[in-house]
Amino acid sequence: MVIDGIKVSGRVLSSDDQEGLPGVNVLVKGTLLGTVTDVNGNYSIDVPGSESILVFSSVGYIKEEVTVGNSTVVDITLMPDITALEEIVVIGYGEVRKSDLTGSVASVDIEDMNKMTKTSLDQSLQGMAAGVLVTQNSAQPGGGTSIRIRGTTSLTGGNEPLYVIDGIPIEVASNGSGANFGPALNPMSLLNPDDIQNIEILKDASSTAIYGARGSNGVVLITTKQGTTNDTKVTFSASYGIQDVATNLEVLNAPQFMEVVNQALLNDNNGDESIASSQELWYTQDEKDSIGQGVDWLDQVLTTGNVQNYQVSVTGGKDKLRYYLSIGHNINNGIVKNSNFQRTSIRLNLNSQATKRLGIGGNLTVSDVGSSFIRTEGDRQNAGVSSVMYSALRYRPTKPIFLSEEDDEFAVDQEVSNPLALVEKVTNTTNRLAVIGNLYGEYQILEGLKFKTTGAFNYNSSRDNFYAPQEGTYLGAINGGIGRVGFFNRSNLTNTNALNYNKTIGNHRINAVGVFEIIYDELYRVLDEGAGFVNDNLREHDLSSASNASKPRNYTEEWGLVSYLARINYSYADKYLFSASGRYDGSSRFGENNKYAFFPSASAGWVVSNEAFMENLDFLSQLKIRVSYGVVGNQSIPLYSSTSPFASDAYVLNNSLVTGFHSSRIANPDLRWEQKVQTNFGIDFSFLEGRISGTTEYYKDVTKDLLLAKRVPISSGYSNVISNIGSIENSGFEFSLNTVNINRQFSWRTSFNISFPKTLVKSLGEDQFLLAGYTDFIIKNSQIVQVGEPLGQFYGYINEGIAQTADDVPYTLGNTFIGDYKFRDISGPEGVPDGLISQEFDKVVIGNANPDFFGGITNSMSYKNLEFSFFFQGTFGNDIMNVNKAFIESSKPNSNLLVSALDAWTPTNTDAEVRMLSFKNVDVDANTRYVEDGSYLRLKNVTLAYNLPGEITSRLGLTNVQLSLSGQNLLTFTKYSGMDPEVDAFRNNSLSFGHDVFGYPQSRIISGGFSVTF
Amino acid sequence: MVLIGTVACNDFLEETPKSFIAPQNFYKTEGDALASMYSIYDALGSGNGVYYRWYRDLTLMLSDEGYGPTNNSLFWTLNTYTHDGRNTMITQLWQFTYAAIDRANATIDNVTEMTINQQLKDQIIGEAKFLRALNYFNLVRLYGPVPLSLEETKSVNGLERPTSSIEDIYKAILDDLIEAEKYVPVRKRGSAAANGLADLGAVKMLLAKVYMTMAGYPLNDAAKWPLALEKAKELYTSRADYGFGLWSNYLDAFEPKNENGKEDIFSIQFKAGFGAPFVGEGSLQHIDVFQGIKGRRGNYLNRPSEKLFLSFNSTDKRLLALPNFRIVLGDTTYFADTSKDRIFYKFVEQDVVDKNSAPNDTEKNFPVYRYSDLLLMLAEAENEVNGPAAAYPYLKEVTDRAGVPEATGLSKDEMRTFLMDERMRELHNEGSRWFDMVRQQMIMEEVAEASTINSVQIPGIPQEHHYFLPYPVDELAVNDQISQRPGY
Repeated sequence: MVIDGIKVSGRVLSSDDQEGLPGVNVLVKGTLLGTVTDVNGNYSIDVPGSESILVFSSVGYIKEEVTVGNSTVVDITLMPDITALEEIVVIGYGEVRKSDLTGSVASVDIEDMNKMTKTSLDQSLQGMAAGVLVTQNSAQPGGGTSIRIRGTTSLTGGNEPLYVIDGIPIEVASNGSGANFGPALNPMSLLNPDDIQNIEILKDASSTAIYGARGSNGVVLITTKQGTTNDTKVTFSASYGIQDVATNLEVLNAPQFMEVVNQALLNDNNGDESIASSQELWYTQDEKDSIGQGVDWLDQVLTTGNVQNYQVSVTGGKDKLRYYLSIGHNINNGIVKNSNFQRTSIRLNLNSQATKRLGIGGNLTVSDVGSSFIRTEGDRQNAGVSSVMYSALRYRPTKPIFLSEEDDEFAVDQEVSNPLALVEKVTNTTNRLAVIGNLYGEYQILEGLKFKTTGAFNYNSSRDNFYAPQEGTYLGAINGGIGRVGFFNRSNLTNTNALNYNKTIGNHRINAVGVFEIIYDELYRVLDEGAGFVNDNLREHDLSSASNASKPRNYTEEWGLVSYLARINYSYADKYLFSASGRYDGSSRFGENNKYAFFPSASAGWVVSNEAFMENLDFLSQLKIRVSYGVVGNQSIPLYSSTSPFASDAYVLNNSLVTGFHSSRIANPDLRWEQKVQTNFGIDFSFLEGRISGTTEYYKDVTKDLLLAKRVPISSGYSNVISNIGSIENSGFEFSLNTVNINRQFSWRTSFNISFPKTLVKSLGEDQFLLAGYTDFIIKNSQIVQVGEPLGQFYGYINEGIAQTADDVPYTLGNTFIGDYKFRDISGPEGVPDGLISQEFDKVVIGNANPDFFGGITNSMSYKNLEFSFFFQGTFGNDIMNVNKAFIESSKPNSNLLVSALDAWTPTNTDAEVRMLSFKNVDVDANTRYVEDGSYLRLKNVTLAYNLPGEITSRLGLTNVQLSLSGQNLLTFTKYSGMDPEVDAFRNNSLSFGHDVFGYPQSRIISGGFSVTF
Repeated sequence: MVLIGTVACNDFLEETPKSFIAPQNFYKTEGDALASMYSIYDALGSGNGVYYRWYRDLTLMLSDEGYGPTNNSLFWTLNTYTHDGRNTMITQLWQFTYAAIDRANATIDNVTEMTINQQLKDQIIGEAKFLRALNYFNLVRLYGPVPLSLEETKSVNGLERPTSSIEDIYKAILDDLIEAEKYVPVRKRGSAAANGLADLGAVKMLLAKVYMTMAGYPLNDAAKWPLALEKAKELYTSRADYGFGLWSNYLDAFEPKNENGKEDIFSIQFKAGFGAPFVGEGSLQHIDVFQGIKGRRGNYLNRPSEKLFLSFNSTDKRLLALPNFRIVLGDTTYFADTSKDRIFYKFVEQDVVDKNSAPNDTEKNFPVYRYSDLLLMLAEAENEVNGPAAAYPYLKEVTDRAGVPEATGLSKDEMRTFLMDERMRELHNEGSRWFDMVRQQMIMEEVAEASTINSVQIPGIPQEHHYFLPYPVDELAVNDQISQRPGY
């Protein structure tokens, strides 16, 4: 070939260290001309002409294209491609090549995740990674999630993972000021999902011990998008979705309800209609005929909601400056009236290579979240206002919406609040502001040796308002209105100083990091409350007008953490991998005698496939065996636990209050960290040139020194002292597999993950069991925590159907009557069945809220410009305590019941499942009837996307246009009889979980959207 | 930078709480010393306080003057003498009493070390000692031998204490009271000084009571009668200094407007209407004595026994304290269902009932010691030391107000029996009756009599071991130095 061209030369540098990058492919675009850079990153090539385009590419770096023009020297800096997850994995205080990884790190496929209707990042994680159980605390917009990485590890402390955003550990108080009654926010809900570059989940000690005292619940590392040196790229995307209730419950309509009331009256009067019909509650035929269908209260409170997302991002860079800017707006109007969530966030990420050796940059995000909650989870009327779902299911269908036809004032029916008043008249809002920012400077001291210092600031505040009016709400009515306002803010300062050393000598590759970090955190909270207002006009806006104003409450807390940590990774010939880390943490939270603790870890890997003897196995691309061991801690225990604070109290002298102070507990200066000892075995494999790849892991984690109240003789004046006495074991298998099934013009790939977790309570101090779970006037202690058994066991009676004869009556609770539930007589005071049913002797374990396994599977297909994907997610083998049923299946029909009440037991309908209805006080407690299989498989997402062909977009002057249509929660396969199997009324409680207590109904979303890049 | 960090960090890791008081910041000022003392009173009167409900409920259930609800095992097991150490009332009364004792210990230990006005300091320590003595007096009468601690609990170690003998506990009680007697001032009733704190009158009253109790079962130390008489008389002769006297109507003694008035020697102070978080904190738990008419609040748990009711002369004005219950709503007055369905009324606030407002938020105080108790104690001590003739004048003051004929011509033994019954009539439902039955060693006989009168109300008869309560199992579970009392 005759070259009549130009000779171009230059040097390719890595943006990491500004050192020459060897082995970079340099190609002339559209030709076969090419070369490779030398060991110093230098190259030289002859190109056809000034219009030639040079393409620089290297594994692990972002490809760059440069038009030659008049230059004869083209120098370029390549950016590492951190999206190329196959190659580089972000880990704590650094990153490693995935092939060098010896710990357990799950990478989340951001592309798959972003197909989901973007409501909140935490919810999108569900089913995406093995070992990560994401449970929605509430289906309400803005409702939080609880994320458990490899199980529950603390009984009384925190169980949520540590979130590290762009290298900075983020502490977000989830509960706000406590003035209102909303689900807790997850810190991730403050982030705009579109800003996320990648998410890594650190699961074993090798990867989390570097976070020491905060690593025991696992770590979620989030990296946001950074600018590139490409030309400026602007992306605008928008989506709009509508949502409605996925499954509804069927309650009695007015004539049915009247029927049921009359039947209960007949039941209470031995079937004597003349007596029954003389009762005040009896409905006459005329009343039944004239009522129509009555009011469908569920229908009144539910509505069609919508989800909207708007986002503009600008990314680019020039010379030594790179930037990523975005603004996003998310609106989620829920399916119960007046429940909504809005987030507006802006982000500014900047990086600059100031000098050859000095890089500086920073990230800043400001997020404003506003949410109006309705109260759902929880029972009837706790703390200010009742659950909307409780009221909607219980309010009598025979009652009118308003007090009278002329008057549009909401009525309260007996002690049930008006469901419409709860959604329309109650204020229950939160307004949050979060500012998360950091600034770093990075200096190259020597080749391979860098120093980086980062200062980070994380502020979030919340203003919370609550008002329960006199009109329509039960507690508001009896208290003359209840108003509350609260404010809290939290600021957290982190300074991280890291020295990083990278060196490759022949077959030896060494990476070492040493860090000094200091964190200070302060939280402030104020709460005011008042009740007894003249009318509902001022609501919570002038609490001084309350006739019964509570004393204002405020609170400040602070903590600090000082840490020294180091890690070394060493690999030999890409075959033998070793890693060791240690962190020495000092925390203000712990007792005088135990302020500091050391958290070590070690791991090793063997890349079997790189051994000479494996070379002949062509089908095998990679096989790696790895093992890790280490100790991590949990510092998220209640602050000041080791001290003996004075509590204030009050006495009355001369009819006014005087304040006293007394020591509220015995100090425990020996209080120390909860510690988790983790062992992990993993195998990574990849066949057929990566067409099939996967990971399987086994782990066994023992958490000891769990904080529990240890009983002391009560003659000391105290009943317990907080001590390190409990222990739990978590173990399990995890398996994930990615396959490229077809890879032609039509391509199809599948990712699948599944986890089999097990928990075991090993010690509760001197106690053998703790009663926990749900307790109210119907159900007492629905769960039990026992040594030698898993967490989450349901505890109650075995329901043996209905008492059909007088002989069965002793086996009903409280010896009631024929027609009541009959329970199994398990034991008695003498250790044998005693012919009576008692809480002490006849309750047994009747279920478990832990799943046997859970997972997710995504299938993505593409054909030309069309992409299609669907994602299933589910949990299996877990039970749910359907507390709703205990309330609305067979309780007194003075409020509404489920339609199953129509088929309740009567002397003539003896093969019924639901017991006889009665207006008498008939007990029921946790029993097998309310424990249901909570397994489900959900078609969480289906997405169809179409990319406009290049010729059309370029004619429009655009780079890319995508149209998409997606559906969320379209199908759920479950045997569970409640509204939705994904429920947890207790939100993150380690001892009590898996209860359905009038939760917010799950929604189904269908949305369409587009994205334009230019 | 690492060096700077190391130096700065030790301060940084100190926990200096801002929103609560840490031990190192307390016991500095006179205000701190007073607040420490108030916390002992709080342990008597708060929702977790000794006198909030369990002291009265428990002694009432054990005694023959009242009975409880059959469907509440907490009450009914005590009422039928089938209780054991798992009973919450027995556990909590023990727990709350020891909490009060520990607060008293903390006050005594720490205020002693403070440099503040000497008079105030003495007075605070004196009151704390009175309160500690009162609590041990309750414990030793209820449970017999109990662990004795006279120092603040500061560490987890060494909390497993054995019981001390009844004699040793009484010795500690007398030591405290004799000390308190030196420093606690007189607070004249009807003046602002009578604010509800214990005064010298309360100390002397308790001292007399302790001697009187020591004279009876189980110590049976008759030599204490003259001491009881001496103390009671000291108080009686200086009654004008204290402003003591009887209200002309019996029920007036329980009216909020008369609180800390002439008839109150020592009362636990309660006050309604403080709102959250003080609901229940500032008021006596009355809910159990409220009669329930459908739709009205109240549990109507505790009822007077027929024995109590029948012990009254029909002209006795004190019967007004045991009415058929009534609620006035507009023009209608509702009564309880049957004539036998009487209630204890002295702690019921009619206004709260009529308005159907929260029954655990009322104004009434709980009288630990009333002046009429002093009069009856004086009569009893005179009877024991000098014979019945000397007893009549004191007894007459009480019976005159009740509007019943004065007692005459009683022998010493008859006088003893009469006074015991009179104490029941005058002090019913004030936590006195059970202790009178115990010190007279009459629990079987008296309960058997009540059961003969009405075996539905009082179906069980106590046995010898019922003179004292069982130890709470919660204590035994973690205190290997104590074993359960025989019989339980």
